[in-house]
Amino acid sequence: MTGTCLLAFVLSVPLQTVERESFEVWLCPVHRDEQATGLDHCPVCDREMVQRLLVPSYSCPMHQHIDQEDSGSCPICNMNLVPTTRELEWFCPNKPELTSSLPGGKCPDGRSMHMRSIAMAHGDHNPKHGGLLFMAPNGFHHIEGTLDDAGTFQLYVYNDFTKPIDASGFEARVGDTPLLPASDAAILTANIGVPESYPAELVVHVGFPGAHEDEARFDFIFASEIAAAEETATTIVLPEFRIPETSDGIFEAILNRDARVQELIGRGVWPDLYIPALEAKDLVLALHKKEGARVSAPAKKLVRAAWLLDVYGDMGNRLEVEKAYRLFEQSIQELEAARAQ
Amino acid sequence: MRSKWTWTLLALVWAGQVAAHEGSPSRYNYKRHVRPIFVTHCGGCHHTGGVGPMSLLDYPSAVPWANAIKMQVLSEQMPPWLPADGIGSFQHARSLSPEEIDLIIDWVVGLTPEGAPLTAAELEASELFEGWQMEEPDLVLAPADAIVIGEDDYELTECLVLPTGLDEPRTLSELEVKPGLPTLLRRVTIGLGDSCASATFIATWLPGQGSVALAHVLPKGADLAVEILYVKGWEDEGKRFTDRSEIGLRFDGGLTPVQSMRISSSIHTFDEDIELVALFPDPVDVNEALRIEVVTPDGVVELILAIEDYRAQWREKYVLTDPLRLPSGSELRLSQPAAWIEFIPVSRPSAE
Repeated sequence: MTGTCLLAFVLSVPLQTVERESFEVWLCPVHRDEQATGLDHCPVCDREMVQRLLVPSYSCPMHQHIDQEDSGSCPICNMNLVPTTRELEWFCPNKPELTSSLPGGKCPDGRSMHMRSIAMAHGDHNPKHGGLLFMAPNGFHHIEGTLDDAGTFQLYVYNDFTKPIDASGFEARVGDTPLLPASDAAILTANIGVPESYPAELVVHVGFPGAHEDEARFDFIFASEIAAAEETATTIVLPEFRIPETSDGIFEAILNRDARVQELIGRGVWPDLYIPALEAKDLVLALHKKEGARVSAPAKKLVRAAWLLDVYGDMGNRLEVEKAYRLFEQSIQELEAARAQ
Repeated sequence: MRSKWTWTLLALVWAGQVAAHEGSPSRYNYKRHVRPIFVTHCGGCHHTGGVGPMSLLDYPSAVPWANAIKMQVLSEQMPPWLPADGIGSFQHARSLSPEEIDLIIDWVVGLTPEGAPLTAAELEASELFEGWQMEEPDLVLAPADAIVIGEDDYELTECLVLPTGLDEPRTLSELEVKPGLPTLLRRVTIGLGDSCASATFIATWLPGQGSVALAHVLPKGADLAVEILYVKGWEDEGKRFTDRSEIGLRFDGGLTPVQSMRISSSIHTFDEDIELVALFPDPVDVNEALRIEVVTPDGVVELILAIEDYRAQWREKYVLTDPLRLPSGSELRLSQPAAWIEFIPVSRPSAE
């Protein structure tokens, strides 16, 4: 197995120690995305891990310092704000270099430190250019693809803070067409011609710098040049969800989630798959509680399939998503058969 | 119901083979929820000094492997239990329930909360227990000469013939292997006879299994043919080891002795009433799925074992939770031979 790392250790459920609802984690103060193997010290720099408070926030895709508790538009560019997660930090207005990750600190002049929020690793998975954004299998890199009406495909490369990084070390191709560096160092580009119709499906393979594994596959499906942006901007909102009271009602709800999963796969909206998939998972666990051993085997299969849809939906890999869906579909068929006995 | 912030893109960071749709802190923590599952299903191998490459019984050891645990569980590679769910019912099944799978994955994607630190007693319990787990054995067998696992050996199968020296027949009721090399010893297969190739199968022992309950008659002067599999981890490559693992036996547990039979054809018809007690598949092609079903004389077909992904390293004897009564004339059908079965002949009540 490749090295798995842990950067943050969560110690408690949400706290109410600051004005905003927050929760507590431990991070390396420097290597926030590097490997950590224990609570005490960062394995990269041996610094002591520090306590951090995280808050949900609405921020601007283009202006990451924007931080609002509620949705709205960016005061700078008027773009719609998107949900993110940020770290809280306390600082001294007269000495900004003096910071604390916890509230209650005092500045040298005796005054209380001021609170602000800062961007954090994986706190923002929103596309920055109206495209489709995926997380790489290495858990660090992120890529966003856009397709304009002239048939130019652009691949934006980000780090774990969704900040643009130099793409020169990447090897990528859309289909068989290599993606080449653009004038902006964070972009790889190729003209693939204007799609004959939409949705346009592009299979992009990316080799990441320093990676030992094979290149990763990403399936970009653009409903249209404009629709892609609209879809991704609304992926976070969850529908109302509750567990029906009867077993039949629960099974019916599972079928509804299955239909939603199929619809999302059909449109290639990979990042949203987790919503109906994990809801179906919660539903089948409730059904298992009601109906017991006779549905254990299909319930277990559905739980696995739902989490696999979550995993591979994030990575935008059609082949793996479809493989997970076959398991999902099979589990529902077996569930129906088990209930009929 | 989780809030929408639970589903936001808060993935705090762990890089690994894959990265899931990470969430906010899980409602489950290691101490209270996750570790008990690990103790039950994983700790037999994954304890400090055990055959597993890492301990899962203490938080600092387990948590760096969180993403790997997630993928191993979702792909059903771990815990290693080969029979398909919902088909047959076997003692000591190591498979996870739907709720246990969900809890583990939720914990992984939910930032692996620790909960309270382990107590000293819990930490001590995470260490390898070096004594016999069963009561003191009546007889302990060990090879006269140590087995050598050489520098160039990555995987080694050795066969030993261990004389019991019994001066009268005894019913073997319990067996346990005390590994001399707990980090390398992967499986022990035990038969009755003076050769591993021709021995009558009795038992398998896997790490973490503790003692194995049996009901086999050992004749006077019986020999046990013992096949031992060693596999090195990457940390042990290029090193030389010696091993003198011990096998402890206890006798006369009071259970009705079973009979063993190797079935080498695709269909075997029983010519007497029996209770089927256990199955030990020994398929010709380990890459093929395996199915074993019974057909009663009135035509009722019951699938009693299905293995889709047969991984030979984890082959073991499957003991039915409840013995299966089969009238004379019943068939045992194997999708591919062969298999050992254990059964008890059942006497029909007298017609008078």
